[in-house]
Order: sequence, then C-alpha cells, then structure tokens
Amino acid sequence: MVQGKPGDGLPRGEFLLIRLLLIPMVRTFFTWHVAFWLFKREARIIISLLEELEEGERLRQVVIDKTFAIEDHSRQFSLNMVIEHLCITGRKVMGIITALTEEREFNEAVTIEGVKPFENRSGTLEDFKLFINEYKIFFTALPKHQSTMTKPHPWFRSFNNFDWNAFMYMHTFIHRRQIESILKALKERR
Amino acid sequence: MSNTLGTIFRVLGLFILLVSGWFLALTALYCLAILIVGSTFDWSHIGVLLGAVVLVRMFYPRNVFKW
Repeated sequence: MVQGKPGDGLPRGEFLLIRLLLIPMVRTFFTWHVAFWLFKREARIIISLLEELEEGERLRQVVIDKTFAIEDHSRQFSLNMVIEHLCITGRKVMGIITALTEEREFNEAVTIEGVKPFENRSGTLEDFKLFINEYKIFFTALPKHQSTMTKPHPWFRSFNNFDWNAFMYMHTFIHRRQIESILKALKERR
Repeated sequence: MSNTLGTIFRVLGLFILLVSGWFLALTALYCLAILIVGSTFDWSHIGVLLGAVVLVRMFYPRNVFKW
C-alpha cells in the first residue's frame, strides 16, 4: 500500500504552479480576515462530511488517485489520518504565527515528515473540533497582521504570519478535497 | 472530472470571487468619492483604480514574489 516516502514533495509542475502563481495571487488578493473566514468555512465542511460516517469507515485506509498538492505518501491515508494531520499541522502553525507576530524567531524545525499522522487511531474528529475552537480563540486575539520575521515552509520559503494564516486556509482546502476523494473511493468499495 | 482538475477550477473560481470583491469595494468607494466631489461616473476610472490597487498590493506591505 505504501506510496512514496514522507517528504518526497510535489511533482515539479504542481510545485511551480503553486510557487509562481498561486502564492503571489494569495498574497495579493487575500486579506487577513478573508483567509480566516475561508478557513472556518472549510473546517465546517470537513466536520459535516465526517460526522455522517461511522468510526470504522473513518479508520479505513484506501489508496486514492493523485490529488492536487498532496504528495504520494498521503494518498493512502484514512479520513482520521487526514484530520490528525490537520490537527498536528494546525497546532504547529499556531506556534509559528505566535512567534512571528511577536517578531520572534521560531527555532523548531518544520518538516513534512514531522507533521504526518502518528497512527491510524480513533477519536481524531473530536480532537479536530477542539483544535478548530482553539484556533478561533487564538486567531481573534492576534494583534499584528504582517510580520517582518519569517519562517520558511519546507516547500515554499519566506512565509510571514500573514502567509501562514493564508496557508492554514489553503492547506485545509487541499485536504478537504483529499477527504472528498477518500469518501468517493470508500463509496465505490462498498 | 478528476479531483485535481476540480481543485484547480475551485481555486480559479475563488480568485475570480476575490477579484470581484475587490472590484465591488472599489466601485462603492469610487461612487462615494464622486458623490462627495460632484464628478461624473466613468467605468474606466474603476479599471484604473483596480489596476493601481493590485499593483500596490503586489509590492506593499511586501513583495508577493519574494522568496
């Protein structure tokens, strides 16, 4: 079932499309609050998609077709693994945004391997709901929307707090599409 | 349609919506300005304003192409 290694990265075309077109467009047209509103919308969609299912189905691993901006290794995730990844990444990004907003350096290493789900376990949906609430409280207390200090994303460099906030939306959206693909694959196998 | 194509189309749709949002906001501000100044409405002015705002946002508060 294993497809590639964690941290293998994206195909060159996708990487360039994101780096040369998508990120500049996000930086130009997004605002701090639009990114947050869109993030909350994605979280609501994910919760409504997953709440309908039984835990057994959320734990079932299926291999899906290639989806946009998802590396091969993540194509074999169960739904619970995807949301565990969203929680791990989200909490890490919260730490990054806090440090950058205070113009502090974020010294912890950020790697793709380091934010992969640890195991395929139960109860991640509840953890995801908790995380979304944590993020909402955290975000509304943030005072500064453009930091000078940056922390590189493992694939896309030089992100400041605004970029990480927009990343939170784009990342959740990309994984929502992955979730939809997993749901489709699960339906086909029923 | 593949999931990848669907995602790309959704991203395109999102940016069209965002540009429309900026356009509407600028149109509203422009209408307010011409009401105050007593000038005449001209669509080309809104186009120029939108172009200027996009250009400014590309380089301020930071260069969007910066790596």
